[in-house]
Amino acid sequence: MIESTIETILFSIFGASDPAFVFFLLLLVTLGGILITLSVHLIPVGGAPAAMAQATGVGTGTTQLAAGSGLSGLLVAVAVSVETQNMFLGIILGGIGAAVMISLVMLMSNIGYIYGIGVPPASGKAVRDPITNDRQDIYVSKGTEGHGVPTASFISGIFGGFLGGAGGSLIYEALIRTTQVSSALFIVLAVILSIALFFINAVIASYNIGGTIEGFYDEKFKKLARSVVVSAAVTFICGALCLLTFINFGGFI
Amino acid sequence: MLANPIVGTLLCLSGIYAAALWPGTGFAFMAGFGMIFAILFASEAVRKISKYGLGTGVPSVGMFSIGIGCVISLYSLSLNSIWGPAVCAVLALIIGWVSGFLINKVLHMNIPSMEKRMSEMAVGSTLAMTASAIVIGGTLDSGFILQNFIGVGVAALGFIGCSLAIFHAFNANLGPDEAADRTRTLAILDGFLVMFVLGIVSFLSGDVVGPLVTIFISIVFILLTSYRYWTYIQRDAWKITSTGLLPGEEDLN
Repeated sequence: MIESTIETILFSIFGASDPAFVFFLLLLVTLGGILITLSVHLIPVGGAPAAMAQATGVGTGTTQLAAGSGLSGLLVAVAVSVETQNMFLGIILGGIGAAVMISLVMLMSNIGYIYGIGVPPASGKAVRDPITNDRQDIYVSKGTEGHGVPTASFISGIFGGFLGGAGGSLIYEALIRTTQVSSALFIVLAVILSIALFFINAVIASYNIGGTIEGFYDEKFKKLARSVVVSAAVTFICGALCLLTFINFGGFI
Repeated sequence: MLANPIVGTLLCLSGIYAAALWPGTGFAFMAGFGMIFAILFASEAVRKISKYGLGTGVPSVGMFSIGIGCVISLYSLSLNSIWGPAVCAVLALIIGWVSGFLINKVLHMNIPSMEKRMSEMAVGSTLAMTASAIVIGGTLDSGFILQNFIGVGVAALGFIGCSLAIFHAFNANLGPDEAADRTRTLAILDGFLVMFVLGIVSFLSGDVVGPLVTIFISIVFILLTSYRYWTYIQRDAWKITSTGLLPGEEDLN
């Protein structure tokens, strides 16, 4: 009795789509939001100090960096998904697209730091690089917290870019599967909604790390759990609205 | 008084309803005025919260609010109901308050009045984005909005235009000599610039009268507000000097 009542209510909310399937898609959207939050914690961001070579990381804000890589990943994912209709291929290639983008950004900023400003890439938070085991502290200039993108940060950034791109693509793939109708209008709608969810999660993660992080070996990375809780809660609410938007607009094609 | 959130919400809603209920597109510019009232109180909230020093830059808070605003406004536009904009204002109030509470308490930002400002920003950006959809055609019909606002990609313009108008004013004027009236004037100027661009792209929907009226009114107000902003700059600056042209190659030798 109770089950049938709940089912009626769910049907009245979700329309003709199967409520269990829509709830599964909502969980996928939430997972995508959590992946984006994780990605921001892995990308080395230095903020304004890094732009003056006074902190480790790329010299721009977290939101801009995550969005730049994630949106290029989303572009790849949409192109692949439209061509092949394959969900997993779209997600994985979206992640790779974002990883390529963030690698290029880190490489170009390293060239700028090394040959333009004349500083060696060095971490201010670790005495030895966790991956290559090289000494870091003797290369850090006095009065700064490191500069450039050292090896451990670079590899961390590639993984961060991959997770961010895959998370954004996962949100897109989940949203586009809400309705059975295939239309170019829905692709545009799904892209815009996934960009909105991308920015929400990138900013939540960026508030958690206070604007700067060096990578997986940074002390701030241990605060990840809090950010995941907030991101999951906010993405769940906003993701439900996104799915309802899709179902409502489905009647106008 | 116009920067008060309650007054701003009421003025914005009346602008949206005046544009939507009037038959034809001749009154679509009223939604543009509504958008500017919403941008005005959202940028006032950005101004108040960014003074605490978020550590991630002023744009991050603008991108967060427009992320929430985009999701809720597209949901409200998909309802195909006259109550859509009013419902989305209430939803934005709740979701903004919840996300502000989670960010403040779980992420330990510990900024006083974070919940209040977050909900103000969420309501402002939601109403601004909804109004930018009404400027295109002066109607709340979901089919029209899906074709001419989302389908042709104008929603992305509304997304980034409203977010720029919300955070740019304080980001450009911050500092020890920041004056409230100068910041507000710049927010209004940004809003009219967004309205001008929306007027141009609303030719895409095949209408002529509405876009022409919107463009004419926005040009008049852009000139008036720029003049006002210039007088404020002259009042606040200690001295305005011309740097002259860059030296030519023969001057350096």
